[in-house]
Amino acid sequence: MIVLDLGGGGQWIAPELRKSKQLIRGIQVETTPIVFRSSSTIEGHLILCLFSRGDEDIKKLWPDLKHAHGDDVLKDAANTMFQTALSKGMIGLPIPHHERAREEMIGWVEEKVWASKLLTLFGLQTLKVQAETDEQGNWKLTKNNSRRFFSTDKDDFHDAGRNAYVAFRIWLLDCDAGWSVNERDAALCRSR
Amino acid sequence: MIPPVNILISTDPPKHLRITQTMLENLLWDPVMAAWVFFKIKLDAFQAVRLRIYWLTPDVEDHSGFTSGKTIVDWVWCNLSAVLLYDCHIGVIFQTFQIGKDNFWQYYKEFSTPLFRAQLGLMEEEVREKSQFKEPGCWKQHFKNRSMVAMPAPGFLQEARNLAGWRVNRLLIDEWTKIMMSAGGAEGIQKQLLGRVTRPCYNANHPVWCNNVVRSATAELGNHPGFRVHREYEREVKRGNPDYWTFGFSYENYSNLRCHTGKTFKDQYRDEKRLRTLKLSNTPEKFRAEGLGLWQKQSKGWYTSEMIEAGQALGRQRKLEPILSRATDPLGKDPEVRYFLGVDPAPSQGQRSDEGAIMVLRARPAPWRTPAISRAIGPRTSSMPGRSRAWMRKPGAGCCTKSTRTSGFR
Repeated sequence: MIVLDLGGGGQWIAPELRKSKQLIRGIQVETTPIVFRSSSTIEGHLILCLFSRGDEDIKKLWPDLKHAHGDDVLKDAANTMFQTALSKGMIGLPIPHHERAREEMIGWVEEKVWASKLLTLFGLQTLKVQAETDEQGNWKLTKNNSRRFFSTDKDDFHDAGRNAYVAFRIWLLDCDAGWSVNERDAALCRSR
Repeated sequence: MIPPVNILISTDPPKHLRITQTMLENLLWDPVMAAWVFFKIKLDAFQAVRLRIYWLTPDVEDHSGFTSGKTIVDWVWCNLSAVLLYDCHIGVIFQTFQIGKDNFWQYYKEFSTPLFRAQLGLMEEEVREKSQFKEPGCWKQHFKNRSMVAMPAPGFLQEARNLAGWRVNRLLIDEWTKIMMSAGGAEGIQKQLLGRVTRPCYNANHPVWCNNVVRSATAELGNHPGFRVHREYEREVKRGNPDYWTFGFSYENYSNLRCHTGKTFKDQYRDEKRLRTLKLSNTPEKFRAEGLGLWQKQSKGWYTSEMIEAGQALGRQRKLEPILSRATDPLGKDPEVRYFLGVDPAPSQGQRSDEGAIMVLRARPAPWRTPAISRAIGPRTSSMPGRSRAWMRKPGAGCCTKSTRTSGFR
C-alpha cells in the first residue's frame, strides 16, 4: 500500500507509476503497473492512494472530510492520528544511529547505514513539527477550524512516515481480503 | 610687543589626508575596504557581508541575535555614508537617547584615525573649529563634505512628533522591535520616522546613492507587532525585489579569520559560557529569537521527545534494524508481514527546500501470545476484519503494529 503526498509533484508521479515499462538503472524493464485502488481500467497492483481529501480511501478513513473545504483539515486529522500512534507506543523505531555500536554495523551495506541515519533524522524532524498558538497558548485555527502546522526545519521524513502510517490505517479498514491472522495470534485481535 | 599677525587656517585637510577621486571611486564600491582605510577596522567575514548588504540595499531588516556585532557595523555604515557621499544626512535612532550616547557615540573615540579625523568639521566660518555638537535634544557630527550624522532624542512618548519636519538621506533605527513595544514607539516609527527619509539624494534609483533605511534588532516571537513587518520584508525578498533584504546572524557566526588581537574572531568574540547561561535562563523559543536571530511563530511542539524515545525504546527492546527491501528483510517471506509506503515527493530546489522522502512501515501481528494468555482469553478468532474496526475505535488496543519497523530512503 502506498500513500503519495499530492504536494511537491505527487500528481505527476502517479501517472508514471501506471506505466508497464519503467527505466530502472538505465534499463527498460517490464513492470506491473501501480494504480489507484479505485481504478478498474488498468490491470495492476491496486495499492496507490493520494494524500488528498478527494481520494476515496482517505474519505473512507475520515468520513467527515467530505464536508471539509481545505486540505488543512486532512493535515490536522493525519497529524493527530500519527501523534496518537506515537504517544501510545504503537510504532517502533530503530535506535538512533549514534547510539548504535560499531560492531553491530559490521557487514552493513552503505545504504543500510544511510537508512539508519535517515531514520534518526526522522525522529529529529518530527520533534520540529509545531502547531501555532496564540498568546494564551490556545491553538491558532485556520478558517476551516484546523490547527496550523509548520516546521522549524525540513519535514519531508516526518510527512513520509506519517503517510506510511496513514497507508497502514487505510489498509486496516478492509484488510480481510488479504491479511489473515494465524490461529496462534488470533487472540491479539480482540477488542477491549 | 608682538605685532598682530593674520594666521590663515585652511579648512582643507592636509594633502596626505585628503580623499582622492580614485580612492572615492574604489571605496564607494567596497565599503569593507573603506572601513579599514578610514577606521582601521578589520571586519570579520560575516560582518563584512552585513556591511555590504547595508551599503547596497535601500531597505534592510537585520534580525541578528545578540553579540553578533550589529552596532559597530551600524556605526561604520553611518560614518562611511557621511565620509564618502557628499551632503548626506544620516539619522540615528535608538530606543532612548542615553542608550545611543553610550552604545553608538563611544565609537567616535574608539576609531578615530587621522584620515577620519581629517574629514570631520564644518565649512562655516563661525564654527570652523568645531565638528561635534552635543545639544540636549540632539547630538551631531559634521563632516567637511557637508554630510552629517545626527542622533536626536526620539521622544517616542509623543510618537516622535518632535521629529516632524526632519529630513535625512539615511536612517538607522536600532532595536526597532523594542521601540515598537514601548509606548508610542510603533506609531513613532510608522507615522514619523519612515517618512523622514525623504531628503533629496543624488540618484534615487541607484543602490548606493539612493536613500536607505536600516532596522536592526534581535528577532522576536511571532506575537510581536513587528512580525508583520518582518513577513512583509520576507515576502519582498522572495519576490526578488532588490530594494529589500532581511537577514539574521547569530552569536555562532564568527569565522576563524584572525582579528586585530591575533586570535581568531571566533575565539575573540564568541563567549560560549555566557551564551550557555543565556540559553539556560531563557525559553527555547526566546533563545532562538534573541540568541540565534530567528523570528519565531508562537507555537507548541506537536510531538514530544518522550514519544520518539518511547518508539526507540521499543526498537531497542526488539533489536529493530533498518530494512532496505523485502528481499533483504529477515521477515520478508512471512505472509503476514505487510509493508506500507509513505511518499513525500518534492523537487529539491535549494539547500533549504524540502527533499523528497520515502519511508516504509512494516506491520505484522505481534507474536506475544503465551499459552497462559490463551487460556485466559478463551475462544480464538481466526480473522480480523471486524476486530480491526474495533481497534480503530479504541486505539489503546491497537497492538497489531507492535512490531513495526521503518526504513527510509532518499
